[in-house]
Amino acid sequence: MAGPYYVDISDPGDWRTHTGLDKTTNMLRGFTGLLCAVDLAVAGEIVYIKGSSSDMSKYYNVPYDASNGTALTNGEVVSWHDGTGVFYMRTATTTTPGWSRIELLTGNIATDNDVITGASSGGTITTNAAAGNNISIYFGTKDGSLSTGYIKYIGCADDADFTVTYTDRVLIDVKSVAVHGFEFIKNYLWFENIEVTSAGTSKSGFCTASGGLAPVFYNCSSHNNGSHGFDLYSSTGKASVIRCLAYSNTGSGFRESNTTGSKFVWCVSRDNTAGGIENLMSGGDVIGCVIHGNTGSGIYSVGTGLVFNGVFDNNGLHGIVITNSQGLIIGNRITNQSVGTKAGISASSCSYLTGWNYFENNDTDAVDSIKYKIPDGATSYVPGVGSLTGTDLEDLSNTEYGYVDISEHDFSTGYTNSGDPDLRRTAITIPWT
Amino acid sequence: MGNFSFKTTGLPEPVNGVVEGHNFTQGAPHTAIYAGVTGLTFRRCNLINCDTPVDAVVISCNKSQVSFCSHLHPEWLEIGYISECAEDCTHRTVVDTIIIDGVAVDTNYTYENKAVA
Repeated sequence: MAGPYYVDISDPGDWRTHTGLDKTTNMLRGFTGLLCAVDLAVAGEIVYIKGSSSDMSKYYNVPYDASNGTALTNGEVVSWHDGTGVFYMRTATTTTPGWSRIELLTGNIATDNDVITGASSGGTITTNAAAGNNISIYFGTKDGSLSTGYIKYIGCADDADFTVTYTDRVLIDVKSVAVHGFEFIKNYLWFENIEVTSAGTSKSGFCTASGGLAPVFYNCSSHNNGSHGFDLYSSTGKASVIRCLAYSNTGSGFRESNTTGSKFVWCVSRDNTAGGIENLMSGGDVIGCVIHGNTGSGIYSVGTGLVFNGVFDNNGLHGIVITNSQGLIIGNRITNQSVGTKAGISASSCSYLTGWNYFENNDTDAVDSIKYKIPDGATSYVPGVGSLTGTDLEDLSNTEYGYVDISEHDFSTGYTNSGDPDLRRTAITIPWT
Repeated sequence: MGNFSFKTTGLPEPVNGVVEGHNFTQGAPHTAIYAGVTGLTFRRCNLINCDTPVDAVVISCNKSQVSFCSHLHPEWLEIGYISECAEDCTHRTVVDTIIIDGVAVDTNYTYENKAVA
């Protein structure tokens, strides 16, 4: 940084010209010197302005105190808002008599306007918009594109259009309006501690209309929306969804991208009117997730990815549906799919590898049976049994796997209290559910 | 907290008059739930296509009324949660006719669920 800069408005000379920067003292003079200082200063630098006892009204249009709208007396320089939204300044007190300090807020911005033009460098944006006003936040570099790095949304502390329920989280309540809660098109965005609810007709909580490569969702919640909780269908893929919750959406909890490679880790998808995770394409992994109570299947369309250490219970259709070969399904608990009338794993003419899964009360009325399907022509491996081809299993004892009573899995805590301690399932639950 | 989509019976008992955190999505707009029950408060529920009792207090719920298109939700149609739409239903928004050498060879339709009052 080359600043701070000093602007002495009391020495205006001809207001249409200025003498330029005195590089020895970083001094600028006059009204136009102030504009020059704004042009020179970079985000975070300080511009000091010296007031004047002269009549300054001829040098700017409406000198007024932005805090109360009253006209300034001569010589005062207080908050200056020119009405065009180019930049915002406020004064702060200094210990130097006669000098007011103005901080250029292009790095860290606080504004009481409704539109924030985002910082070109990192910083914190706080807003104090009046209740009921919309806030639009535009993030981008000066040329309008976002090329590297990421922008991190972290719960803010002030009430605005983002209503804070907890001090560490942002709540976006769409109030049944037919818009998505959070729609994004930029790549490499990071969403953290954000809860979205009540997006209206056929709208999702989080949604990408296009692009949106490699977003990260950490500790986010999306619920009671008119479509999916997290809709990444149009994304260019590779989302990382960690410790997130999707529930009671009139759609799927999570809808994967139409391309490849998204990862879902320690997520909960429950009670959605469609599936738990929909359209899980090749390369997508589901690890340590709890998926239960959905009207559709727990996971639909497993491709070549991994489904590991998950809990799938009481979904309206199948536990896991495979539509592409080479899916790897290991160490999951798959129970009560459609109250025992649908398969734990359902596949259509494709092979997949399974191991160490626990099944109970799927596709059968017998509580103590383990049931899953291997379609004709496909091969699967059942621990303790071996490779099976095109065979439906019936009445395997569940004692091999150590579980006794599935009713003791408490979804409120994510902990199974019964069965072999070494085989008990736990799931990450988010405390603010 | 549960999924009671497309159900109007067997709904969860209120706790101290409060029904909280459930999904009550219905297939048709203005489907009554908890009919005849008074003094209820619904909080953080999905009430899409629901009509709650007149005196009910509704807090932070999704109250959208939606006409679902069966072309978009074949799985719901198959189970009978929604009624079947005609091919030229009111949900159809775009008709894209593919013409090759002056001959229409195929037609693509786009459908949308519609908000209703």
